[in-house]
Amino acid sequence: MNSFFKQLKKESDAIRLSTREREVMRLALEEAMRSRHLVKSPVHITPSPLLFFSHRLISSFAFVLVLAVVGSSTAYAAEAAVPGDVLYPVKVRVNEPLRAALALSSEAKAVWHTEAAERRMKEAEVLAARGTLTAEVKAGLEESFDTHATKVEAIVEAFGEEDPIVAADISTRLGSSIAAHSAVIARLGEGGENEESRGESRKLVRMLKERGKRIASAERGVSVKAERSASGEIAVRTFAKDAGTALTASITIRDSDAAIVARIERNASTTLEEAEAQFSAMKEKLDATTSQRTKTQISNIRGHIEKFREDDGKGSSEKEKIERALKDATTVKAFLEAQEKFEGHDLLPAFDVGENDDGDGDTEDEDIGTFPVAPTLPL
Amino acid sequence: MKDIEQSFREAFERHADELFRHASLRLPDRDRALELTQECFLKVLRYVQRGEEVRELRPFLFRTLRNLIIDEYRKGKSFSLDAMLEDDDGGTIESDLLRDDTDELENAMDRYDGSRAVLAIRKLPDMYREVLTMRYVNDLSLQEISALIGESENVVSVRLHRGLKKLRGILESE
Repeated sequence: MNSFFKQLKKESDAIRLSTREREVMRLALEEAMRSRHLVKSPVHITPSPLLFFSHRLISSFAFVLVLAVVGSSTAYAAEAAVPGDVLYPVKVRVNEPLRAALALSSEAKAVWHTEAAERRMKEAEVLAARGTLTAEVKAGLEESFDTHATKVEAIVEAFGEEDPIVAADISTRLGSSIAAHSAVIARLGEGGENEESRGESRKLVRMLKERGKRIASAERGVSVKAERSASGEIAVRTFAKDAGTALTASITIRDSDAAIVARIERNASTTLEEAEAQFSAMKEKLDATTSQRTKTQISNIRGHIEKFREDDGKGSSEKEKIERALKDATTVKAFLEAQEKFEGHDLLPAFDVGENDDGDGDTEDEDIGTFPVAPTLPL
Repeated sequence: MKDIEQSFREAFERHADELFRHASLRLPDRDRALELTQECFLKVLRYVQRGEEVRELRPFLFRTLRNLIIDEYRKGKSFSLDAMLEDDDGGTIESDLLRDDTDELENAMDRYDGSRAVLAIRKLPDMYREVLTMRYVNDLSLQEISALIGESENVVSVRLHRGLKKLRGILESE
């Protein structure tokens, strides 16, 4: 069992593309496929005129046309639309189904649905900042968010058995994204003047957090051994439902724990790098105190990750630490992006980022267990 | 064209990780491995888009990646060609070892703890690292490796044997 080559294989199996790297690469390839089509003139003289009319060619022309639509400026402009905008239907009815159709593997699908859920949260940010988040709009966003998040959960559950690493990767990513964006929405909603919008933001934030907890407990269900969970009945229900799979999974999964942790760590440091890049791009616009505090936050997170690396952390408690780092990095990044987008608002320094130096990071999380959900917000 | 692209997409989903794994064991840094993996897929894509025939994508991808890595070594200042080709056994005739020896050595290797193997493999001259990675990390057969690197199966198995011996040396010295 412990043979050298098996171990070698296992060790090297941890070397893999992160979901994000994979997605970036996939996009580059799709891009290459697309540009090649578009560069080619449609009045291409083919050796055989019959070939020109073959079904395959015609269907591929249709494909190119669709891509051309998405590549067009309308579709591009629609990407920034929020509910209520003229272009919003283009975004959700044309662009997004197309993106979804391009995601072929389950992993790609999960990545896409995670992004779609993120998009809904980002739209809510814009509306909360404008103070136009009405009950109706909120309901729409919530529904769409829920659809996507549910799909991610379903895929993660299916993955849990065969590839716990990917499953953990995806669900921690969604979890940290929810934590990050709900904090941004809370911050933006708070400052709003419109009573209704403020109330709706608050409700939305509450819903998002519930969801975050649920994802976290489900994730723990698939990964690591079933631990005592204090996150209330939702978690209990998830466990009950998954009891069968969780049990079989926990046997095979212990081996992959290290790989899961390695992957989350990689995600955390990539995200942090992105946050840093964003920060250095907008540093001049920030005042000295804010800039300094953000810098400290970033270097704190870096410290956590580095310490983690030195400790060569393995096992479940270590996993919480690195998840926390990932969530913090995501939060800082989300706040930086939001600050860039909503110039009139003072959002920084990022909110709800663990500033406690090390420790087990759990103390401020009250009893919600491993998932780093924001403590109650000062609303 | 759509069919080709479809199978290309599938090939990407299926083989991206293993190619990346191979590249990162052969190159000093992860980012470069990432770039070369992408470059490898783009190259193959361009090739099939030109209408050239590729019978099986996986070996083709591996071969392309191999060439990219060789190019990398050629232009690289950080590592030398010597390091890649180094073979201090000098005069030994490669065919003087039988394939069976490899199996015996494999058994002997099993006494070592494999958890540091990835690190140890990185210390080997690339010539051995290449075949060992292909064999034990990417699970390619002798036959496949031989086709990939354009050497006879015998040469491959000798190289594996020497690589394993060196690997054992590294592990013992630690």
